[in-house]
Amino acid sequence: MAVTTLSGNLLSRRPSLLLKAWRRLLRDRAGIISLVMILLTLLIALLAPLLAPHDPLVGDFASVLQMPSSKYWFGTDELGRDVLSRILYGARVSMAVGLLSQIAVVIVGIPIGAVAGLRGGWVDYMLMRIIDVMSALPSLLFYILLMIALGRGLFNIVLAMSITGWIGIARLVRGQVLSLKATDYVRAATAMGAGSGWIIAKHLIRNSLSPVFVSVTLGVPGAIFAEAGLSLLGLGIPPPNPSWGQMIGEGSRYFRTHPHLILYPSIALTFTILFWMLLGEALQKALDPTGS
Amino acid sequence: MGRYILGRLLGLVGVLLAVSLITFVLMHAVPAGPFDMIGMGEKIMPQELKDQLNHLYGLDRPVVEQYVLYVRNAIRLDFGNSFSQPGKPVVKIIAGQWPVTIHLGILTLIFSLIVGGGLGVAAAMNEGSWIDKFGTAVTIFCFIMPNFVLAYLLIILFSVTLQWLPTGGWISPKNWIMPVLANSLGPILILQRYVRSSMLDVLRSNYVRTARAKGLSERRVVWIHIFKNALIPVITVVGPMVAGLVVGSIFVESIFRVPGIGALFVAALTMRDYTMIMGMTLLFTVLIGVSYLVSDLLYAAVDPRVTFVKEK
Repeated sequence: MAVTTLSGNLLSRRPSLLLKAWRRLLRDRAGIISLVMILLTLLIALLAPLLAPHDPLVGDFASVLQMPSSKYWFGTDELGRDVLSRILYGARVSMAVGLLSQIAVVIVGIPIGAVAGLRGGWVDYMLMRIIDVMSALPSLLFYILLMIALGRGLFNIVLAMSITGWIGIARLVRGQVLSLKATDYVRAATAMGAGSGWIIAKHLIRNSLSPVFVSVTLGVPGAIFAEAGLSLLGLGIPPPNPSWGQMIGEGSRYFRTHPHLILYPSIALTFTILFWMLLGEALQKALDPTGS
Repeated sequence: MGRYILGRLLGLVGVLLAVSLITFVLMHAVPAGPFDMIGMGEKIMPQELKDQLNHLYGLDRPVVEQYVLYVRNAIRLDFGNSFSQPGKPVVKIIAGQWPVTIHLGILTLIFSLIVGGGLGVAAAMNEGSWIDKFGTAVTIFCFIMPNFVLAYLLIILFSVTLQWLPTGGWISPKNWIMPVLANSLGPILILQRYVRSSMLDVLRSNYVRTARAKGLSERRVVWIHIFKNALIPVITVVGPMVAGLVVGSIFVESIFRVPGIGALFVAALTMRDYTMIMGMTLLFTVLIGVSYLVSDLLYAAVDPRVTFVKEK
C-alpha cells in the first residue's frame, strides 16, 4: 500500500512524457516553424470563404486563362476561375483528407493491433494473414480500385484510405505490445499481481504512444499526396470543387502557354507535405531524446 | 530451405486468390458497366446491343460462376479479352507494352543506385560534413516532391522554357532523361537513407576498428571490410524497389506518354476496361510477391547469419 502511494506521488510530481516532449518540440527550430505553418494552413482552410478574393466555383468568362495580375494574383484557369481562391479552398480538401484519414486509421488500427499483440494465438494469426493479403498490392493501386468501386468524393477518399491505412498502425502497435510484454517492468507488474487492465492502461498504452504519434504525423502527408494523385487521375474530388491534385491535372492541358496553372497548386502541395514531414521528424526527435 | 520456399509460394497463391476475389468484387460493385462508357457524349448504345455484348463477355451470368470461370482461366494465363480493344487478349496487350516499363525500370535503378548509393556512401564516410547535409537535403526533396509534380516541373523547365528535351514519347535517349529523373525520386530516397545508416553501422563496428588497429591499408579496410558488409543489407531494400519498378509508375508513364504498363493501366481505368484492370492487378501481385521472395532468398545467400529454420 505504502509503495503504491509513494510511486504515485513520484509520478504525479514528474512532468509527463508528453509534456516534456512538447517542450522539446517547441525548442526545436524546424519543429516550431513547421507547427506554425501547419496551424496557418489549417486556419486558411477554415477561413477560406473569408480569405478568397473570388468565387472558386464560378468563373468569369470574360477573363479566361489570364496570367497573374493585380486583380487575379495567381491568374485564372480555362473557365475564368480565380486560381488563388481555388488553392485556398483546396487547402480544405488536403487538410480534411490528411487529418480525417489518420483519425480513422488510429481508431481502427490501435485496438486491432493491441488485441492481436495481447491475445496472440489464432486472433494474431488471422490478422497477420489479412495484413499479408492487403499489403500484397501497392497502396495507390488499392486506392484506385476502391475509388472506382466507391465513386468519387471526399468521404469515399477518406474511406478508401482508412480501409487500407489501419494496417500500418495495427502492425506497429502489435509489435510494440509484443516487445513491451517481454520487458522486465511489465513482468514485474504482473508478478506483483497487476491485472491486465492496469497493465494496458499504465504501461502498454503510455509506452507505445510515441511511435504512434510519429507514424500518424507522417501519415498525414502520405494521405495528402495520395488524394492529389487520385484527383489528378480524375478519381478523387469531383469537379467543380477544387483540390490541388485536380488543379494540377486540369492545368496540365495548358502548361505550354500557362504554366502558372500547374505551378501554384504544386507549390501549395509540396510545401504542405514538407511542413508535415518536418513536424513528424521533429516529433520523433522530441519523443525519443536519446536518439536511435 | 526447400520447405521454406514451398511455404512462401503456397502463401503467394493464397494471397493471389484473395486479391483476385477482392478485385473481382470491387469491379462488379461499380455502378456503371464497361459498355456504358463507350459512346458517351456521342451516341448512346442501344440496350439490345449492350445486352448482346454483356452476353458475349459472360457478364450476364451469376457473379460466382463468373469468378470461378475467371480463376480457372487465369491459371492458364488466360485473362480474357480486353473490353476496350475487342478481340485482343489481355495477356498479349500487357506483354507488348511491358518491355518499355522494364527498360524505364532498369535505367531508373542504375541512375538511383549511382546517385542514391553514392550520396549515401559519401555521407557516411564524411558524417556531419557538407556532403552529408547535401545528401539529407536531397532525401527531403525526394520525400516532399510528388513524382507527378516533378514530372510537370521538368517539362515546364526543359521542354517549354529551354526547349532542350521533347515533352514525351520513348524513341531516343533524349526521351528517357525526364521519365528516369521523375521515376527515381522514391528509389534515391530509400537508397541514400539506407546505405548511409548501413555504412555508419559498419564504420562504428569493432571489426573495422580491429582492421585499422592491426595496420591494414586504408584501401583494404574500405573495400574488404566496410563496403562488403555495408552493402549486404541494401539487398533487402533493392528487392521491393525492383518490384515497384517492374510494375511501372502510373503517373510518370502517363505524363511523359511512355508506352509502358503504367500508362496502360491508366488507359484501362478511364475506359473502365475491367478485364485489363483485373489482369494487371493480378500480374502486379505476382511480380511484387516474387520480388520479395527473391530478395529474401538473396539475403540469406549473402548473409550466413540469416536462416529460415525456426528456432526452438
